[in-house]
Amino acid sequence: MKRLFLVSLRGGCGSTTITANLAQSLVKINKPVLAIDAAAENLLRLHFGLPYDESDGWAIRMIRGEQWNDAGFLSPHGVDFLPYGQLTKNLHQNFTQTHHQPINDLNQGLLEVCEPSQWQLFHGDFWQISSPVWQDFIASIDMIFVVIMADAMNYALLQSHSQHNHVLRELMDNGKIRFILNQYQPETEIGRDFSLVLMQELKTLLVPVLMHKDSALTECAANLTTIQHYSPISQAAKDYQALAFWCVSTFTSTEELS
Amino acid sequence: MKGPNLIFQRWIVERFEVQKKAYEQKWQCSTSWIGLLILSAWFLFSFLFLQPVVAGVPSWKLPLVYFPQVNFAAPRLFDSIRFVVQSIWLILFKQCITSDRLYAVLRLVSQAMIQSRHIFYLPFESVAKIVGWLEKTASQVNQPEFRRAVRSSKSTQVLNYLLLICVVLLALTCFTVPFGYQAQLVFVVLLWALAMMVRRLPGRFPTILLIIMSVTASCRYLWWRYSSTLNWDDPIALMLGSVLLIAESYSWIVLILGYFQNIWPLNRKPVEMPEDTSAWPTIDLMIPTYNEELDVVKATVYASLGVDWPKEKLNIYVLDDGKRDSFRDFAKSVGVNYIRRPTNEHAKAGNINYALKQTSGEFVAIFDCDHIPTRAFFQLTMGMFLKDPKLALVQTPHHFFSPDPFERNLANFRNVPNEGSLFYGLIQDGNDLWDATFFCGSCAILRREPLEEVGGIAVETVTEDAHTSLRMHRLGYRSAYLKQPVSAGLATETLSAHVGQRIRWARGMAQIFRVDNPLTGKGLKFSQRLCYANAMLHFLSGIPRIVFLMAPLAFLLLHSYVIYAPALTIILYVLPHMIHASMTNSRMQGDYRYSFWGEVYETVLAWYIARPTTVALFAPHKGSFNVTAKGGLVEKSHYDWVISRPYLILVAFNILGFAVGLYRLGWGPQDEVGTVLVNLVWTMYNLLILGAAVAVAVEAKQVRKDHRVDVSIPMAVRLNSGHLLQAVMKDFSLGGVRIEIEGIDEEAYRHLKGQVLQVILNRGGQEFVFPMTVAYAGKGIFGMQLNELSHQQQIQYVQCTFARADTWAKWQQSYQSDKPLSSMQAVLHVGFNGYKRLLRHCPKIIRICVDALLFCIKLIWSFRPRYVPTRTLSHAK
Repeated sequence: MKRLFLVSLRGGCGSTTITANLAQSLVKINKPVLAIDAAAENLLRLHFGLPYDESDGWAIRMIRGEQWNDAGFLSPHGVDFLPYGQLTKNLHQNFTQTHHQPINDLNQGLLEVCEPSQWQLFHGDFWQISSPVWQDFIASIDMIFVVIMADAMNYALLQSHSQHNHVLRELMDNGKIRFILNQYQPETEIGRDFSLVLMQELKTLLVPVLMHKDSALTECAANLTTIQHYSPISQAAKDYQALAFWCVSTFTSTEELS
Repeated sequence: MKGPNLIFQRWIVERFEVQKKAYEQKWQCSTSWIGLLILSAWFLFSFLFLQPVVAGVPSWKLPLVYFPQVNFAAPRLFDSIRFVVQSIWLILFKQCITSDRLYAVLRLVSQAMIQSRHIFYLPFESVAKIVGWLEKTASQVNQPEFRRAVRSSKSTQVLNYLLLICVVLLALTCFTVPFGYQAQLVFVVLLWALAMMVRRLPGRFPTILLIIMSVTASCRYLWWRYSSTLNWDDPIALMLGSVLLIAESYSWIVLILGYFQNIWPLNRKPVEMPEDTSAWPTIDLMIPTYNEELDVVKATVYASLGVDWPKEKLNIYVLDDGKRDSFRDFAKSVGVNYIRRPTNEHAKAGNINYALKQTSGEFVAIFDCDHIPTRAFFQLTMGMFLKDPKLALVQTPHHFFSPDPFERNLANFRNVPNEGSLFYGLIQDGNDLWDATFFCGSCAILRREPLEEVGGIAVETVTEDAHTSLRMHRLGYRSAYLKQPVSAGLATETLSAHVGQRIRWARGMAQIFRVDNPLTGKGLKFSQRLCYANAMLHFLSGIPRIVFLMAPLAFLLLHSYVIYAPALTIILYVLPHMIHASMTNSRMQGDYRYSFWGEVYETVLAWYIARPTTVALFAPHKGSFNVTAKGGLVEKSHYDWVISRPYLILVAFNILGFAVGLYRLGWGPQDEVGTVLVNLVWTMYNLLILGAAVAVAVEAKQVRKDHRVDVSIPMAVRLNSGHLLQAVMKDFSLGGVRIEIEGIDEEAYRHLKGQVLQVILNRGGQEFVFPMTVAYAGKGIFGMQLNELSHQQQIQYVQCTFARADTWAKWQQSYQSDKPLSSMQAVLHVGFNGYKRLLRHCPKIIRICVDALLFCIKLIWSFRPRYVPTRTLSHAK
């Protein structure tokens, strides 16, 4: 079982898109995948064709005291996913106050239920990495992916986090974090320059596959599907295939080493 | 058919119509009135008097089957003669099937051939193991300690000398013992069988064995020629025979020297540079130019700006002998240095010498203005200089991304290795083993001190490059050759430019032979002298080649026996010599030159290098330096009559000889038939080789100025809507690229044409974007034209296209290995086609004559009787 946790450094970097499309790519190369949305925004479901009105999710089920695995869905293109659920503000406050370890319950449940060859892709928010409540969950994750963009804001934020955020620093030193450069625009000089700077500074922590900016990605979310079926001739589809292969080869080799 | 309607019933007439249609269908013509008459008569006859089916065929169809060459529906002029001939044939000769017997015999023969081939590979596995063990022991012996031990002990030296004397005595006996017919036949067959068994074994020892066998066959042949084939009675035959013998001795010397030189190609590997870049030396990169266009030089300059070397340690100089302001302005705008000297003496050598005085880098790299260096050029080559302080020269191959005249006019590009690949793939590598690599004028790096010690680039000869490296060798410096295609340039455009370039090299080499003879003079090792001598000898091949092309005519036209021996003996001696040489050369050179193409290249150049080399041998200071033209455009497809005049004369002579030979065969004395046949076969071979030479002079039309290079590299295209599509780059040139995108629908093509798109190319993990206009869109292929680019973008573009090292390396690997017989077939085929193409360009009157001749031949051939198999008549329904 491989467990990946994908977050964005800043809002809008694209971790939702990456989680959904990476899950689809892995399904395309015949890996069993489960995508779990652990972010309260509950946007992952849009890529998997879940109708906008459907508000079911594991968090809602847990609040109501029902079985959380009843909230599992299967996308039209073969990806199993678990949305968070549309919570109102009150429900959300109640949830985080009463069930102060919801993620751990979910985690425990998932570990019991799932098959050994499955890929579990969790989508979350950046603050969850350093939150003390989430540390057990983080410890059970195989790899954390932080999605960044090649511009000044992201770079500055990354610098400040690596200096002040001890948890992040520790994870970087242990090699448990990787950074994915998303929305790369080689036409812009600033995109090229910052990508070179990030490659230089992050070295092996930066995933070697650069994900290009492509308006087809925004379009496919609007079409409630993933890029592989919306525009298979796009470079983005090729990027996600390369990312999936990179994940498979990286995790197979680390398994063989350990 | 109104007439017969009156006489016959309708159903009869309809039947006649059907039968007539069948006759018409066979010859695809409509019935003429004679045909109508004949056919009606026959139908009537067969309807009234013959059975409906005769011998399995409907009786009205009998003429079709028995007289297949006669057109009954519309009889032609000589059909009556054909009819008579065929009837006589049918009456006199039984048409039964012997194909069963024939089939059985054929099957037996093919089985026998397969079995014999098995025998040749019989001990393959065990022998290969023995060979492997031998090679391992040999490489152990190569250790320096062992060698020192051997050299010091006296007993091993004595043993070595004894072995040498034994071998020499044995060899001499073997070469000179005279054999009768049977003995020679047995000897030849055994040698051939051994060679066939050994030639597929991998490793160097089988190569050495093949060389030994070839040397045996060739030495025997030459000894036999010298001792028993000169006709001392007839002065003309003696003179002509001696000329032929000298030519054969020349090719024998070249063969043996070639074996010695290429027996163990060094295959040098690059040396790593030290980590600390402060230890890296400074390099002056010089690009001499004279009359080439700015576009050609721009690409080289951009590529040099992108080369991997610390910027402060690389100085780029454009040496402009054409004194053009456009070059100066371009150099200034890009940021490279520009040197213009006041005079123009000594052409390129003088240009570089002048620049040497103005510069001061530790190393000098010289690139012809169209040779584009790849990014890794210095990284791969400079390491060797740092490791060996006495190394004065590192030479790399001249790789071409455009086809040379042979490849273009014969459509061989990337199917058959080109003419230069033998030299740059094998010969320089062999030279490298003996430390005799010489400077080739471009794509090389020289160390400054040795270069200045010899006084700069030599100016006394026309090949100043080889002369310079000879001088440096004399002073004890070493040279190295790196067989990696780390740069690529333009090949010569037209056959006349190509021949002009070779004339210059030939003249220069002959001048060096006279002015600074490598065989005499101090400073060179014996092996170096031999290698330089071999390089020079190669260019003397003009006269011997012409002698070979004219040799059979001496007998056929002048009836003088230049080889005074019976035909059978000639075959028994010549064939093994040629077959072994061909087999051994195919094995040694198979990756770099296919068999028999060397004959074509030599033939094309023979006439032109004969005179300059002879002149230069006797008067080395005569003759001028003519620059090779590069980058011109062939406007219209035409035939270069000027260049091919000598070959056409030779062709005419050979055709005349062939005709006379045929006459001799039919009406000459009977005891000469064997000799005439041998000479006819030789003439036919010469004609086909000359045909290939003739074919090269048909200049194919060149459509566009920019040379395109075929590749298959993944890339991406950004549309104006923000979509990014995956694409494959199919070819690139200095003006743009051609890409293939799948999955685009029809109306999008119309919409995209004329748009400016962002093309994203990658190189080394980085991506670069270039704005390009869609010039052509259709069927998945888009032709993109580069828009205006800044200098930085130009540099990046050249880096993503021409200066990629992996493209050229892949080309080298894509050649298949040589297959001698199929290669010979290809060459002969090219020769035959050459005549057809020549005919197309000939003036009208010759075409008319040849067409008339062919027509007559076809006519006479059509009279021949046809064989009608009786057993298969049941299929004729």
